[in-house]
Amino acid sequence: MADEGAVQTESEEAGWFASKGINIFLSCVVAMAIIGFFVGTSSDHYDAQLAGFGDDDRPEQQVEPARSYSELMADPYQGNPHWEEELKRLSELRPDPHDEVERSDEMTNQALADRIEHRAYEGAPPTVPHAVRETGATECMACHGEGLRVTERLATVMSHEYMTNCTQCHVVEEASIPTPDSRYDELPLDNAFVGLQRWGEGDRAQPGAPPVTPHPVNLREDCTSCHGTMARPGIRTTHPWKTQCVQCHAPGATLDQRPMMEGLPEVGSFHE
Amino acid sequence: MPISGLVVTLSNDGGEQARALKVLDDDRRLTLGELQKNRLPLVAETETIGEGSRLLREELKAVDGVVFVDVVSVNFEDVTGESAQE
Amino acid sequence: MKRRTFLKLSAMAAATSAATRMAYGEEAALDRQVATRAGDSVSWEKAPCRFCGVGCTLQVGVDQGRVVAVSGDQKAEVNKGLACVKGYHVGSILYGRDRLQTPQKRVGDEFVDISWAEAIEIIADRIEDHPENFAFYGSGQWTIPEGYAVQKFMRAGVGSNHLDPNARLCMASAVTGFLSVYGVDEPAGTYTDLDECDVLIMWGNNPAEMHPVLFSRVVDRRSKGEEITLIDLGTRRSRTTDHCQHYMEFEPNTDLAIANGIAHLLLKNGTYDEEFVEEHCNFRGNSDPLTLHGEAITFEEFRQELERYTPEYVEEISGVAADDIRLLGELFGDPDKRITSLWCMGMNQHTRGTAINALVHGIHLLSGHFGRPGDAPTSLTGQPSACGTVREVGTLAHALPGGRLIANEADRNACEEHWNVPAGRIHEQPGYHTVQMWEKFSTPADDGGDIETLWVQVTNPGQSLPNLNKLFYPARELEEKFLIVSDVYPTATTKYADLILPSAMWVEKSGVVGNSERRTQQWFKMVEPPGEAREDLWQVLAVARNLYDRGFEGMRDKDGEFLFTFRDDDDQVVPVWDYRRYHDVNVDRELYEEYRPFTKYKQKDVAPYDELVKARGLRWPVVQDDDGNWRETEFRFAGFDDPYVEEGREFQFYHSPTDDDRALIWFHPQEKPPEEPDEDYPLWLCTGRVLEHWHTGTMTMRVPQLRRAMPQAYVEMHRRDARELKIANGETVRLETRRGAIDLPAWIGGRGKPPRGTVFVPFFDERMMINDLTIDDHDPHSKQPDYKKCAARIRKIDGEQREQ
Repeated sequence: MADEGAVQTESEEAGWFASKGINIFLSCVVAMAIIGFFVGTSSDHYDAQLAGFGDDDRPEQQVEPARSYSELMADPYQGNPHWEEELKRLSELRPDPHDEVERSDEMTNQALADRIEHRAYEGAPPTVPHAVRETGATECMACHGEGLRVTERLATVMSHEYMTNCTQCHVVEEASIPTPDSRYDELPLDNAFVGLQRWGEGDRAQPGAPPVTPHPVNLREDCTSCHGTMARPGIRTTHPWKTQCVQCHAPGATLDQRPMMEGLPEVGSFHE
Repeated sequence: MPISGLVVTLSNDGGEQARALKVLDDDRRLTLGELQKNRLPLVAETETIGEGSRLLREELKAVDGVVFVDVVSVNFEDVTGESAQE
Repeated sequence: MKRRTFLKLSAMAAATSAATRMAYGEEAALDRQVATRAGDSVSWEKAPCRFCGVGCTLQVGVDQGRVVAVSGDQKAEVNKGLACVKGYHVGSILYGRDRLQTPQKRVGDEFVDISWAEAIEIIADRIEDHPENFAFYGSGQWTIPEGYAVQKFMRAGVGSNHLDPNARLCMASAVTGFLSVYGVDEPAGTYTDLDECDVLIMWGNNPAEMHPVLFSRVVDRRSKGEEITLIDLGTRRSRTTDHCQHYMEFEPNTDLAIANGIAHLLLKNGTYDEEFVEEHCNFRGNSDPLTLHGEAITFEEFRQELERYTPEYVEEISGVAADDIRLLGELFGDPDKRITSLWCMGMNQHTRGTAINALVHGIHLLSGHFGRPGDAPTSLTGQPSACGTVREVGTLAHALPGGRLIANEADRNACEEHWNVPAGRIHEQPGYHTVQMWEKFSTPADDGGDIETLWVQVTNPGQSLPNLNKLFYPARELEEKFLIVSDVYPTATTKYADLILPSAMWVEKSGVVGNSERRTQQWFKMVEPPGEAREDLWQVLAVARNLYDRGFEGMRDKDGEFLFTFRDDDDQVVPVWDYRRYHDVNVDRELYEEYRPFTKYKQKDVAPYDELVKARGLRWPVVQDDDGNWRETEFRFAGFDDPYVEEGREFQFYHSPTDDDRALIWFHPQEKPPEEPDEDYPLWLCTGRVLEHWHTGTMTMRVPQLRRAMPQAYVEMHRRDARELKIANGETVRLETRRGAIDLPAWIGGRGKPPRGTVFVPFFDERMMINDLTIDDHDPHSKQPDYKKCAARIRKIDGEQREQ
């Protein structure tokens, strides 16, 4: 408590700088940690001497010596309270739902252009713009479970219910195989597929009425993933405090396959 | 008075569907449109927003034979001061 | 008009437009003059995915004659709205810029464009001259109508039985496994078992990458709070392993010992299902010489054979800890657990493929883990219609439609009658199976190589055959051999072709396919093929008609009519061989309905075409209820579900090889493989697939998202093996076997993690032909080669000239 008091006695401006500085520093640290977490040991620059050898294979001088039991007794490993505090603050650095949301056609176009960069078409599972390890969903969930914005990088909330085999649909944009081989480029990769770029605007009954949802909602059940407060400006909702989206925005997509309740014909007897 | 455009999905069971249509038709707040297979477009007109909201969220869904209610449009344009206070 | 009335009217208009769209879909809504908007111009239709045998139904979005989007079909029971990364990007496979668009003929070392008429003429010439030396090499990617047309074209028309598919390389052992146990092919269970099982055992199987939608169907049950035990029995850690509670790593080729070890424990602990075995099973051992039917053994003999497969003995052979074997034994011994076994290439691409298939069925039967929802031995397939077109239509060297056999005179007569051709038209001698066919094609005519003209459709043998140096390349040195290839892109096969025919693919044509759970699915053509590319089916019909016009006897039936005669509603013959008229009648529907009666013979009744149009596939046998509805079957041989089980019986194996409604429990001993690592070649080489690419990569390597994620092949190896050889991650190394050598980069600690002494190479990359190295040894019954095990060595290259 004494420390806290001391900080408060300093001038406001210095305090602001100090905390801002810490913030920036910690943001960087967290960002690095997160990127490092995903990128693992892979490196842009292929190093034949080191790559591929595990910790046990490293030249001796590079290995950090293990601590002895007596050292550990004297100075046990422990969590870093500031770190935890700041990580919590980081996740609290979310926009206020009541902040005014700016929208313009230009911003919408930008948002859609950003999206299509990581998708073959609107509705395709986005590709992964960072390296991933080859396993499990836990790591993905660390950022995409709740969503995270670190500087300009946005980890969107998963738009669908929890599924564990993430890489089944989301593949990396840059392979993790070491490819020193020039044969990589020998095969033609020239594809003329043009995906659907945008769904267009939803119908409105009259000016001022809520637009219907112009896109299918399968695997996009969580609207906040793309339209929430963390989402790209331009397609962000102007009224995030209202959470029952479908109450006013009726599904209007040409492909509407929402599962219906009982009393409807069995799958197999539809004619489409 | 608020006006909402709705689509009510009815059960495919003939008897149940007919009974639901009867109930909806009897409700004088509702104007029914032309049934499209099992989807019924209708307009709901209520005295207050509160009543409208209850109708949409609870009463319609409680009708036997109504499977789902989609809200297509809502208009509060001529809600009077008094009814808006609710 | 009062303001209020206006508001009500506009609200009603909006509601009606929404209701119409919801009720009838977009097309009808447009008819009703609803205002259009951007994105609305996309129309959606169902089609099964082009890739694997899971058989997901997709919704395909088409705009202005092009596929622009794909979505999982939520009404499909198989995938329930989900797809995998290949499925989501399947639209792109149509639009690689190097699509083949005109027929081409080899002139010297060059290919020159020719007309379709000339191409058809060339093929007809080759067949007319020597029909007996003509062979057709087909595919589990043929649609059912395509396969059926070729079946009829070859047996009744050309009069040659040399018809075999690439599926020989992929699920032939599963077929012989089913036949030897149940007397009839294809799984008794369905994917429903995946929703019900408590234990899932994957035998040398990596569904997380190869059948991801099915795998998610199981693992996502866990995230919903259900408890399922996943066991990976494998020779290499894979993505599947990461999701499993138990990973049991065994020495390659010792899976038979493990299966026998489980059976041993069931008998020793007395936990086998006595009642089930007593009532529904017979015992079988190998005969000398080996046959698919073996010879009867008693329960006592069976027990004695298993005596030595104690957990300790199995551990010694397989490397799986005795306690793990006991765990498996206990699971199978627990009647309250529902156990599903899954397998695919690990068990099928095996010189003992039939045997290990039979053994896994055997432990399910012995323990009574059969026929209840969740209790099933289920074999998966890798091609969209390996089951539908190859197994059901019978496009195999020895088979006829609907489970009939060429060797059986009555079966031949039944086909001749249905086709209205003279008795004796179908040759009684089965044709060459895949390995033989290519061996004969690669042997000079003077040395007995009597296959001279080979037509390949919808497959890429120049990359997927084993031991290419023996089976594929030699033919290209021989003048008299002629290779015809129908394909959509240039491949390792078209490179060596004499005649290339550009084909339509996926939704550029209509089709019907059959997946791994007996489900038959249908779709309609949605977009035009590029350039002059045409349906494979049309190509066959055009050649048939050309031969007919020349007076080739086989192409006419008893009444002198063309074998493929289709009539329109006014009973006028539609000349479908003229491509301008090909779409005037639904050829798919005509052929499928002609084929359908064949399927009743072994109670594999497929659904009528018009029912398939309405459904997301139906699982055979599909029978009509009294009220006229068509009903599919989820659990075959089980009284509660299978319409063909006699009233009041719990189980009935009504195609029993012993004709007494019993299934067979086999004993097969553990034996040595044909090639093992030794001093010169100290490593096991295993080949296989990866998530992003489908088989030889012809389609998926042209999809940017998939190609970027997995740009090239590699050799996976263990860290310590790499260190001993002083090989670094990413270093290009030379991989050699007794048959060939290739250079490729080493990947250490990559996606899969082989144990020490094993290396793994995927086969999708045509620039690194791993099948130059594999063996062509095959299972004695199924003739399926073993791509999973041979001896190899790795060398550093150190600036030597690279192998290409």
